[in-house]
Amino acid sequence: MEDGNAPNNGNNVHASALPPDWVDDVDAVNATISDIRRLTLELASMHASRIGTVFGRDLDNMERQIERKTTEVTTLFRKAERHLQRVGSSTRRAGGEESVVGANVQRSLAMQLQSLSSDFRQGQRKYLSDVKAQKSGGLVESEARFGINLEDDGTLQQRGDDYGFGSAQQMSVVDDLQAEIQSRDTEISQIAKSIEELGAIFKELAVLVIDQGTILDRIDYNMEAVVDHTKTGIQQLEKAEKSQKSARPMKCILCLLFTIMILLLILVLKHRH
Amino acid sequence: MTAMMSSSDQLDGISSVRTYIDRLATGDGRCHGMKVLLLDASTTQILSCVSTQSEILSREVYLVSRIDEPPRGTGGIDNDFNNSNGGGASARHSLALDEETAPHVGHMKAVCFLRPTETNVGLLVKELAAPRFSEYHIYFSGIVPPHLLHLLAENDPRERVRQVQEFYADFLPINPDLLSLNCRNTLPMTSSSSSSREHHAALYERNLAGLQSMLLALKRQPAAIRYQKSSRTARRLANDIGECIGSDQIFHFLRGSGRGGGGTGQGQGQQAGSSGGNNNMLLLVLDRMDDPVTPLLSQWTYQAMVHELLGLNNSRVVLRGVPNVSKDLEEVVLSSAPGHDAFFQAHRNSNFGELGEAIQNLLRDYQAKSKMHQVSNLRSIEDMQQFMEKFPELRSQSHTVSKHVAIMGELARLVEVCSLMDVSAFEQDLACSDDQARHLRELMSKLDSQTVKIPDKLRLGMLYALRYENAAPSGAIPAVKEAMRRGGVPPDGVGLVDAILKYAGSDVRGPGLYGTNRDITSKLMKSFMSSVQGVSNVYSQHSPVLMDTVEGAAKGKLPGQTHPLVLSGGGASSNVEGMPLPQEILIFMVGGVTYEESTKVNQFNQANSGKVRVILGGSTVHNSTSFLEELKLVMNGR
Repeated sequence: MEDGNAPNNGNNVHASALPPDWVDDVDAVNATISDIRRLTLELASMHASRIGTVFGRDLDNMERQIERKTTEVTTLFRKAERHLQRVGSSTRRAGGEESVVGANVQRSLAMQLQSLSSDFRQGQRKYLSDVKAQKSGGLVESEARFGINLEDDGTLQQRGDDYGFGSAQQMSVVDDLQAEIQSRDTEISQIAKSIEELGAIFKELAVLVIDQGTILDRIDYNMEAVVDHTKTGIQQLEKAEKSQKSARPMKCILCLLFTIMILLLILVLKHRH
Repeated sequence: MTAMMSSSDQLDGISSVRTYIDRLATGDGRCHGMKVLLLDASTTQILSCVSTQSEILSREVYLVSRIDEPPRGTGGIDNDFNNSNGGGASARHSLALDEETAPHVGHMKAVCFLRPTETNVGLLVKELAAPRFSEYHIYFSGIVPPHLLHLLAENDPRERVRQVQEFYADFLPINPDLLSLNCRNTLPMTSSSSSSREHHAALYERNLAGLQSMLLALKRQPAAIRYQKSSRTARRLANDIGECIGSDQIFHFLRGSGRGGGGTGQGQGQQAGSSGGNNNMLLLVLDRMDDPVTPLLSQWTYQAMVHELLGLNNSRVVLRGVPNVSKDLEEVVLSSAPGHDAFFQAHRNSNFGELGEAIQNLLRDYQAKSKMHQVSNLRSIEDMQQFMEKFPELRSQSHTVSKHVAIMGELARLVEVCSLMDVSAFEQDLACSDDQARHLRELMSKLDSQTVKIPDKLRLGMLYALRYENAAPSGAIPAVKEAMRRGGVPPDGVGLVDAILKYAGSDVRGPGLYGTNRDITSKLMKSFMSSVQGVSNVYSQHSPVLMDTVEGAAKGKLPGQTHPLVLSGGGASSNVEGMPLPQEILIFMVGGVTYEESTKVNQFNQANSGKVRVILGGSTVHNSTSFLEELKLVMNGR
């Protein structure tokens, strides 16, 4: 998509018709889309490696990275959407063929963005549920360990020696687990938030996307619709012109002017006496 | 069906045209970035038939515009609007305005897909004199005459044209085995005398070009061309296409028979048979005139029925004004193109009863699925997310279901209101059996009946007149006409009875209608078989004349007296002995085909899958309304 623009610019030099501003926005959206594609791929591989590891020192590091990437992708989505809206508003302002082009560009890009965002959300959701499963699995595991530990505790107590040491060990295990649970909780809530945000964008894009298989997806129907729109537009303009030229406001003004003149005359005459 | 799909070189109108459109949308690989598509009236229809808005959008075609009606009216308005708005952007636009007429889209590239007509080339020349776009990629939908190409080459002062190609998609592939030119009013052309040939020259050219393009798009050189002897137009078309093939190398595909110019007699056909291997195509040029009965009958298969009762115009059905139809279903699409509507593809040839059942199943499936995803079932976030994911799919399914249910409901209502069951049974009887006295009695009672609608009375009267043109007792046909008038048929409608006899009476049409070309024994055999087996379905006993022709041709039993062969040097021969059996048959029916014929051809193809494949093409696809409209033109001598 981007490579199409290089020759485009070259042509415009001798075509002496600079593309309008919104074309830059379109390019930006296209670039963003390819960025999103790349980042989603990276994210997917990071998800996989994160799910693969249960404990370890880079766990926190990994999660932080995933978190950062996720927010990055979400910002990119928002950025693309912003550019898309700009395309819409600037082409609408231009009117005529350009507005049709703008609407179509918006639609096509929105379709791409929508499929991307749904892929992304699917990936996020899968990751989220995997992490959750791991976490609850971990909890079960740790509870089980607790049970064993408690039993151990009992035996230790019975033995009488090593009492203090055992308890300290247990406390540290509990602390570790708690910290872990908390960190995963925040992680999950953050991902949920990003999904929520994407959901909002998804909803806004959905307005732009055409339903396939309906009459709205017919090429000839759309062309007829454009002609109809232009026709009604011209009619409206003609009406406006007519009403602008129409004599009624003019008459009012003349009438008022006339009255003022008479009143002035009366005033002058009155002062003479 | 699957076996047919698997062979890659299967004759398939839709996929042939799609290949062209796919190449078109990318400028044949040489046009990147934002594109504009410039079309004319007929290429618009062709494109819409096989492609969709979302499809071309995904290929960066962001504007589709007609070359013959550029949006002039809006130009001035835009400028006013921009100037009043002020601001940097509009200032730049108005600067560019001095340079070009439509600067806003000047950075885009134009892909033109046009018919190679003088008018279109003229419009292109005008466009190139003040180009609105930065590049022009031009594709013509047929063979471009050299002088038009010259004209184009000489009138490109700014060298904006990047390529000119011929993409032979000059017809609408309605079904894989049904092609139409969507070219109306060919009936007057076929029935007029040779003196008024000039009058219909443009129409004739359109038909010839359409037929050429069918052959080129399907990439076949016919091994033999035969035509219907009773029709002058069919003969002329067959001769002209034979001449084109003989004189233009473009028709000679590598796997075909090779030299078309050489060889005498039916040598061309035999050569093809011996060397062409699996490419033994027969081109059969027919005329609607041979069978005026089929377009007059009520139809009971889905596609045909929709066309007959609601009108199916390039896959679009208008349901506006139908009781209880929601706003988004006022106009719907019934397309056979793959990926559009699987239900319609599967059931376009199903009859009304099967269809009702199928729609019921469709509805049940949908209900089951939607119950699974009901809002009240959403308990957790996961459920909601799953719902959101399934939602688009569910919605498109709901559209399909409501579309078919709405159409079915309207069809059922019309059948009820017009008492079509009754009418159709009598129509079939009139078309299939011989019993003058009984038919006349029943016809009279139908014509006097209140429940039978006026267009149906007209059709019944015409069917009777066609059947008993010669066998009716004198005074019967005038009496029928009188009864029609009494029954409320308008005078010009009554006049159509004479018009159809003039257009396709027994003197004019070829033999074959009502089984007149069968000998006595086969006739007896048939009536014996039908009395023994009984009629399976009263509403579909009629079989069009076309099917006799197709079966004859497939078995090599089509007599040369009725369907002579075009000789490569010009002229015709009725000697068809020793011709190899065709594996592919392209039928072109000038004057238009019907969906009944298409359904029957489809059934034939399924029954003979692997042996012979038939593709049906025609000037247009008729229903009784369009057929009668064109007949009126014949009557008025136009």
